[in-house]
Amino acid sequence: MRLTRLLRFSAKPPKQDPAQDWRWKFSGLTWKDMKKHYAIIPIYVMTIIAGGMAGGYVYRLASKHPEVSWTKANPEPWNDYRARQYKFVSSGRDYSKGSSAPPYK
Amino acid sequence: MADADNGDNSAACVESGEEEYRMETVPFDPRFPNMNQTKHCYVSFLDYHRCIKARGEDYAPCQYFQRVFRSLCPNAWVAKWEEQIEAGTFAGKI
Repeated sequence: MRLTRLLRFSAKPPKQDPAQDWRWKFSGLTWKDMKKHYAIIPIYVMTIIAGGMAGGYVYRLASKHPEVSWTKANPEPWNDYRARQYKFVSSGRDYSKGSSAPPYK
Repeated sequence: MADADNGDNSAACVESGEEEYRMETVPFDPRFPNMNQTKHCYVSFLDYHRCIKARGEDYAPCQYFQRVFRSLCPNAWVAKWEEQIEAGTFAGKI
C-alpha cells in the first residue's frame, strides 16, 4: 500500500491538453477559478490590502522619516522637522513651539 | 501631576531672600521625538562647536547647546569627543 502510494506520488500527472498544464499546477489565478471558488476572493483582497499597507509604510519611512536622506544635498534631514510632526501618534506632545535650539548660522 | 504650582519656586525662595532656582531639563525638540535621544546629544555637541566656531565663545545662544549635551550625553562620550577634537581625530563635521 505504501509502495503504491509512493509510486503514484512520483509518477507523472495524467496527460492533459498542454495549454491547460500550467493551470493544473496553479489553479486560482484566473477569473474563472475565482468565480468557481468564491472563498478565494477575500483572501486576495486582504493580502493585497496588507501588502499595500506594508509597502506604503516602507515608502513613508523612505520618503519622510527625519533620519533618512537620499542626496548629499541634505546631510542633516532632521532639521526639516524643527516645527513639524512625523509621528502619527505622539501622546499629547506640543509641537507648536518647535525646536528650542537657536539658529546660529 | 502631584505638583500643581507650575514649577514656581519663587515663592518659597523670595521669603528667604535667595535667588530663584529653576529646575529645568532639556525641552522637547520635534527633531528628536522618540525616547532614544542619542542623536539629540550628538547633534547638540556638534552644534555647540559649530556655534563657537561661527560666532565665538562669548555668543550667549551657544550655551543652550552646551546645556543640552551636558544633560543628555554620557560624560564618557563628551570626554572622549573633546579629547578627539584636541587630537584632531574627531569624526564629525565642525
